[in-house]
Amino acid sequence: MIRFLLTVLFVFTTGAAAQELRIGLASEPTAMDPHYHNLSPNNSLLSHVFESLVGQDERQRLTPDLAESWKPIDATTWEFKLRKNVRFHDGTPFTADDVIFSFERAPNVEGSPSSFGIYARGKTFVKVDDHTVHVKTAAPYPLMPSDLSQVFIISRKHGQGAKTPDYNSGKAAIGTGPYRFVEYTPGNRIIVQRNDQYWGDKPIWQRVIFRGIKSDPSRVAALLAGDVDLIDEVPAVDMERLKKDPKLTIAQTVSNRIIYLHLDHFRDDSPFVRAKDGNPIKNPLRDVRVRKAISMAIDRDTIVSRVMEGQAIKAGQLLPEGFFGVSNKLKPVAYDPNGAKKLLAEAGVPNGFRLTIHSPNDRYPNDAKIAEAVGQMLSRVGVDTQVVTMTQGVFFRDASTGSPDKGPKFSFILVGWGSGTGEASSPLKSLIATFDREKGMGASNRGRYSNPQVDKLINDALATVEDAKRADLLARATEIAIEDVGIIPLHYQVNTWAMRRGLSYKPRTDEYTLATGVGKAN
Amino acid sequence: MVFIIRRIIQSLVVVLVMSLVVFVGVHVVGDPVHILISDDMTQEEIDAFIRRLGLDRPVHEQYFHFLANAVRGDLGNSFVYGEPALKLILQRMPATLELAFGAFLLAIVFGIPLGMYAGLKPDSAASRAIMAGSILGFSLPTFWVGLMLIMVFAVMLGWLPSTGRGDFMTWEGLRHLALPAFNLALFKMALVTRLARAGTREAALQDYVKFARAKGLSPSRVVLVHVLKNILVPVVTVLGLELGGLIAFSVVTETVFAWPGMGKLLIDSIQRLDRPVVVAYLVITVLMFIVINLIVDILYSMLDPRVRLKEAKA
Amino acid sequence: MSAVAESLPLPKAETPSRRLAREFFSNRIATAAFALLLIIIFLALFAPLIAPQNPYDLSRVTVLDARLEPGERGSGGFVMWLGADGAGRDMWSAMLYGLRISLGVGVASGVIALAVGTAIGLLAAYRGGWLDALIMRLVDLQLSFPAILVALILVAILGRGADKVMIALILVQWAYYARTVRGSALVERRKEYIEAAHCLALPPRRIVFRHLLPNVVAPLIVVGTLQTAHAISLEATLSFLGVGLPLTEPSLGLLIANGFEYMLSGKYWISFYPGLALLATIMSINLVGDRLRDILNPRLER
Repeated sequence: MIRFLLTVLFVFTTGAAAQELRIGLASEPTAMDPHYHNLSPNNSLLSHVFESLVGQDERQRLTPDLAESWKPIDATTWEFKLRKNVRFHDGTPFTADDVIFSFERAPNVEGSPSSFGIYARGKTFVKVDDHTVHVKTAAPYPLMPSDLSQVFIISRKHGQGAKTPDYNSGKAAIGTGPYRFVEYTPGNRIIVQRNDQYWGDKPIWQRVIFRGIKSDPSRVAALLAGDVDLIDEVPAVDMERLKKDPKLTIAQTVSNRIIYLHLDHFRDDSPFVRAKDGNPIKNPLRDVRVRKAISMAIDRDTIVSRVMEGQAIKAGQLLPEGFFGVSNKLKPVAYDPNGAKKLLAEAGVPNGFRLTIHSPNDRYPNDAKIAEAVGQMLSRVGVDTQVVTMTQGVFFRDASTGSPDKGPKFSFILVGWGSGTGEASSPLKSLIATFDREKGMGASNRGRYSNPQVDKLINDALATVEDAKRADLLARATEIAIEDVGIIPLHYQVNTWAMRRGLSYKPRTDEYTLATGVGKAN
Repeated sequence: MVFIIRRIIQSLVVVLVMSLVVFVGVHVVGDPVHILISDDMTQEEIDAFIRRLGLDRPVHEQYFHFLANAVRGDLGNSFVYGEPALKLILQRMPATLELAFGAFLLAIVFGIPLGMYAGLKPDSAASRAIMAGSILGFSLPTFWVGLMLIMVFAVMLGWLPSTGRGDFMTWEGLRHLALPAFNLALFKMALVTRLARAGTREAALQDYVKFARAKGLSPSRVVLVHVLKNILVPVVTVLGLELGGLIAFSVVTETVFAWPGMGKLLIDSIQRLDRPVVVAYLVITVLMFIVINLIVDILYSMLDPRVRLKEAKA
Repeated sequence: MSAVAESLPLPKAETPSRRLAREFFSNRIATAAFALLLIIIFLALFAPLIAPQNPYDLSRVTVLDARLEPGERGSGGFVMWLGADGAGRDMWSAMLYGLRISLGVGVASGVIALAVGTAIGLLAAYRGGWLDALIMRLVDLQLSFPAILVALILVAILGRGADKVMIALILVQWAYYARTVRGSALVERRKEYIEAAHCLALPPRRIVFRHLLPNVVAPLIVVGTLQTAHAISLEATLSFLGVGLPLTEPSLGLLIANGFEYMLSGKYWISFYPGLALLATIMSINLVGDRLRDILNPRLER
């Protein structure tokens, strides 16, 4: 009898375990409303329940999703053919009305901290028939499919008048995705259940439980203890040990995020640049030789191997190779401290100067430690560098608008940039283009780098629909900006997932952790 | 009654002052906007968002707006979650209370017997070890012990889950509760042990205990009835006051064990500069402490009639 | 501490400080703790002379040494007996300097809080009336909130930095001293010698400083030692929670917090040794304070 019970119990537990997937997330989403917060953890989790017209695969290449195909039909109109026979979780069919409704709602969510307005802006959506939508813009707009891959389609029936709490409670959280929403307990867990009526490949997991475990050691401990099956953002420090563990498997890929240094290009008297005796000097960072020297003084290999423990790839431009619009000429700057000293001497500061590097300490993996390593390396070529790190809320405010005239406060900062669209126009537009409030260019250009030649190339690219031509324009803009040391690229992050043996994960460049990417390896 | 009303008025003043300080303080420290927005938003959209949150207005205006709403029971919406801050906190309160009461029970269950033993046999080796242990308990940093517990019991031995919370009062829930509750209880355990020891030593010297012993009552009866009764008053009072401390210190334990309580919410909110939640947390905890202190006072006066007399005279 | 005790007014025979010392050292554990504390203070004071490396000088620290195991030779040419941390700092040096900061922050905030608290407490006790009532209400209020919570909120408001942590610690601690001083001073005030002083029409300042203050020193010493231990532990906790000191000049608490992430990967030394040092510091202060309490004021509870 006991034996029988045990057998039943065994079958029951293993049966459940085989169907259930438990995932430990470093950052948990802030809402179940797909249009509330344009944030990776939200978009990642919600793509289980909701889908967009255009999908992105694990390398962020665009794939058909709720739209089967798309093409520009004239200079300013794109046509999207919608997939037929797709049903929402409640059984209502998906039509063009839902698309129109979603793009009406996305920019107008009450209290949304970062809305999806940027993707809906300047576009007019016209329903042609139930399964055809035309999107019109004032000027030619090559990034249309990219933009549309960022906005989830919700059900019009349930979305009308629904506010964010209605999604959090699950009342309105009805999508077309491979999983149905079951439960959301902020700070604890999110549960989704397989959608057996899904139009695409049937998901293999019956039920998926996501748990937010922010603390790195705790997340690793949860995996080691078997409390979760898979974790994301594996801390670099634990890689060595996790790789050796026979009970675990690792999956990793380069990310779309670059870590770079921005330098003060616009002030003659820069607040955190001083002569060695502490007196003000004419800002040497405006001299391209000094910027080159700083770049040469940085030993990227050491940062990658020692600080990032191999969880990074040294960078020579804005996006890793393989992404759309990158240059194949640019290589990472080689470490050359003597060359750096020589360049400093040529630039008239043979004995160096004093500099402060500012960095957030809770934004990117090892951010403060990277800043410290950069500080060490610059100090060795004579640029006495002080390292100041702070929490991201303070850092980003001051870095963007902290000076008396509401401009950038710092002289030399460490920041990162992830390209949500997976192509080079994103960093070029935001980091390199001349700061222009009205046009929305250079929004994160916190060094105020400005080069008319680069600006022109970027603007041309943004108006070129033809892919090959656009890619070339973007690559040329990147080459000029990097040769001019508009920013100093350090490395691209590597995204890492760890899971129990027997599972596999298709690693993604966009840092998303998707249950649909978790397979059973044999 | 007058006493209670006076206490409540005082507390309201505290809430008012602290909310003002926190309001202005968090405003000065940093800007939540830059954490929340996505990188590729234009300045125009950022400005629109700032207006939507009301962050473009002067602080004092924001504060009066907050007060006006607070009177109606609306403590504002979280910048991050877009939901009422009060709701977020109340959602997580059960988890923190579960943890705090778990630790509370552990502290009593271990602390009182250990302390009584050390009080009854002050010179034995075991008592010395207990007392040394209690000093250790005072000295060990909570966060450090937390990770050690995870290392040993979750990772190395695999007996207990490392993080998170199970369902309330289920086997799984208790297993999840064990490590964090013990971690949180450690400090209070040391405290209870010392209080119980001091109380026991004092009681053992008192006439009625000596008398009870002389009367030939069994030692266990003497201990259980007379000594225990004597030490309960200080232990209950101090622990009652310390319950607030437990709730506050759960911030640390919750962070280590990813326990989904109010404390973790507070830390996250401080880091994200989610001002409405920080202010609401403060208001809630202050109110909670007032209630706890009142209950302790009432309990105390029930256990020790002299207190009531004193209060009446004052 | 004994320096303070020696300024007590001395009757002939055995001086109070001598008696204190005799009783204190009759306990072996307390003696050992005291010796340990002296060593710790010595190490902290002379850290720059003892440490093989200045861990805050970025041109002497290199990430090439990051996470070297204990006993390996670093690029500075000396053996890192306790290993190196994630930024390549020699652990032993970093601990000595960290100890300096931890002790410095703890003691300095303790001393200032003591001065402020004592002044306020004496004022309350001497003046009495509405001022006393007001001050004591304030003290009660502050003490009804856990120190960690108040400190956390304060640091959240003030921002990161050693000075800010100190302000928070002072604001958290002053009330303990004020209450202790007021309590003892009130008892003394009723005694005949103060009444006599009043009758002699001595100036109030003289009464307060020459007569009241010396008599509240004993409980102050006890509260002071225990509070200092508490402050050190509080600073470590704040740093662990990510709201304390800046990263580049880590205190012991921050060293532990930084080493935290390395624990699971087996690099125990980054977090373990500073943890041990912190524990030894707090424990030795607590043991000394505990013994002092037994001698000076057996009934005083935390």
